[in-house]
Amino acid sequence: MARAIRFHETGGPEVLRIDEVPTSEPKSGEVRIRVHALGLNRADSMYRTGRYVIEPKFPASFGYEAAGTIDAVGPDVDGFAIGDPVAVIPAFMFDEYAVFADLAIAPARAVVKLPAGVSWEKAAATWMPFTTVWGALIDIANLGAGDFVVLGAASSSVGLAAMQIAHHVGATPIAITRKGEKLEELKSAGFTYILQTGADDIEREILRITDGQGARVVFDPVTGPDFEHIIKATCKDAIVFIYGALSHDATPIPVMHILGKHTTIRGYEFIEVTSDDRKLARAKAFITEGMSAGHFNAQIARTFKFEDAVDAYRYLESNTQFGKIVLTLD
Amino acid sequence: MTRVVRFHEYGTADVLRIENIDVPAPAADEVQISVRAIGLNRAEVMFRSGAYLQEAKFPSQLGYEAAGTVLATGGDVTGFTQGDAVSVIPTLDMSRWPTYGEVINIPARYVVKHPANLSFEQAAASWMQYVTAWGALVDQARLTADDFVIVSAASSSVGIAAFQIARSVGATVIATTRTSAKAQALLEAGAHHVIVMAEENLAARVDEITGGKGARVVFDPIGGPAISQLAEVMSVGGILIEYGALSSEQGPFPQFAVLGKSLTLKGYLYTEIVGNDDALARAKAFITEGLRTGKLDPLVSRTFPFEDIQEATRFLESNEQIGKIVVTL
Repeated sequence: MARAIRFHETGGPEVLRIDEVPTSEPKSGEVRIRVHALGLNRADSMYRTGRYVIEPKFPASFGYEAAGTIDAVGPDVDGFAIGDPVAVIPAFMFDEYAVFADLAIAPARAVVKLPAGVSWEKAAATWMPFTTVWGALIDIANLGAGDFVVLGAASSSVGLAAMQIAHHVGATPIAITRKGEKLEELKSAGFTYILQTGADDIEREILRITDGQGARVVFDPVTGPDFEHIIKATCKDAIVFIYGALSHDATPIPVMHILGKHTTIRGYEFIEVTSDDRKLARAKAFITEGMSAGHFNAQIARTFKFEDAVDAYRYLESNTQFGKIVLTLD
Repeated sequence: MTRVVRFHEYGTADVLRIENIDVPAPAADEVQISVRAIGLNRAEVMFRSGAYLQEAKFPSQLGYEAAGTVLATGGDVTGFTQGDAVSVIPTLDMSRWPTYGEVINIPARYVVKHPANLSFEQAAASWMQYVTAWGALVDQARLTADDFVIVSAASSSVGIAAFQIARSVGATVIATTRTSAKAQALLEAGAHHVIVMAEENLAARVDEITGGKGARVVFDPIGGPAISQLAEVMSVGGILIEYGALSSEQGPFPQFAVLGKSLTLKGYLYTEIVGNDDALARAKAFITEGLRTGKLDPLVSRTFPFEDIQEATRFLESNEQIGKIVVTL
């Protein structure tokens, strides 16, 4: 038998239970993983409360990120052997696979072997944020030495991953945050330039930091009223990614700036990488290399025991954490 | 002395004057052209009104397009001889290399020997519209035969040029226009479908035309609130190329459509093409070939004599025309 975190009705974190379920055998193209750490995502909470892109069918299992060892290998799978340390990249929906269990089935294409020296906690917290960032900043924007990249919601897991990827390729990240209490944490996480919306003149400060040139890349999940000030602080031929719309306020567009500077504004989703085998392979190679070099260290906010998933999600939903929340299993 | 058009202050078409000046000999990299026809552009209206990306220094000349014959060439210029029939690709600075005049000097990089089947009127009406449409649709949006492209404000010269460029790569053209007045003319000018915005539901019509798929490419000079409507009818991975700001209204950014469908919104100016040697060479080759074979057939709305430059400009600003307005000498 295996133990899975599931819910039988939508609701708050308290509806989560650990259920005993039969152990599944991996089918063609699948592996089974003995899980040692799980990474929490906001999508989990949205799914549990019935506000996600798919509706839960009860009893509902879920979970995108996990790290552990290969426990069984299905037919037609190459490159994995029992005992290999691996992590899961979320290249599926919850109605296809769900990894929040002590024994989890995952599609082999979404599984990546871990370099030596990476803890289970870090491994479970790495792949969603770093793959998200890679697809936009490296694969599309070709971020490199000398570039400035502006990061909205910089204290999120994705924002922090973007900082490390920018440093890894020699670019300079500029953090934007709404909350004053994150300023110190962003500084100790490694940001040199940190701007606070509502307190700083974003446009003027970015222009000052970039010596009047403006940033070439923006990576923002917020949009809203500040968006136009960020765009006005970009250089010619800049690319502005939006990967979320956390602000519910109207987002004005500075049309004359966009025309005169040939700005590209592009909606971006993680699935653009995970649905494309070649991109996924390039992402795996890039991130593995950065982890091996010690440049990519996922920020862990706090770890909880597998059995304490309810507390872990209460903490996630409090929005006070800095980095990823992880569940551990022996 | 040479007659040129100048203005001494920003204003309406009334500020345009025909004045006599001395045109200097061409610089080392320039070609001097005896102008036979001038193509008028909205950018010149905006420049004259003080609403352009560039400020005027008074008295200022203006103009992006012309065609004529070579009078003289600068010391470093090769490939042109006196008497060649040539046309002008819009330069990066219309006040420095203006085209509204009897004699003009233009850097050789922006001068093309056009195919012999083209009249001077057509040649003067070709390059701004085709370079603009080619750069957006072919070079940036990678338009193919599988695509549906929405061309808004379709009765402008660039709009009609976009129909022809899109058709030359086999794409399906959906034109939008405000009222039914120009609908028939747009179909005749090459649109496969026309949507009358004041009378029809854009989303329903695009859905019907594209079989529910949506349009992958949108080519829009209006901006403002229409951007949100257009984003709604685009397919996943689509690109909206914004090449003007005709709307004075500020429209909201359609962040949910952009996010949900991984859409790209790109500001675009023809200068991206003419400022880049490789892109300019590709544009010249594509457009020259299209003009030669007749796949690109510049539509001249009306011609005016040089003396009637004010009247010609007023007609451009009336928005009654379909296609290009040309002034002849």
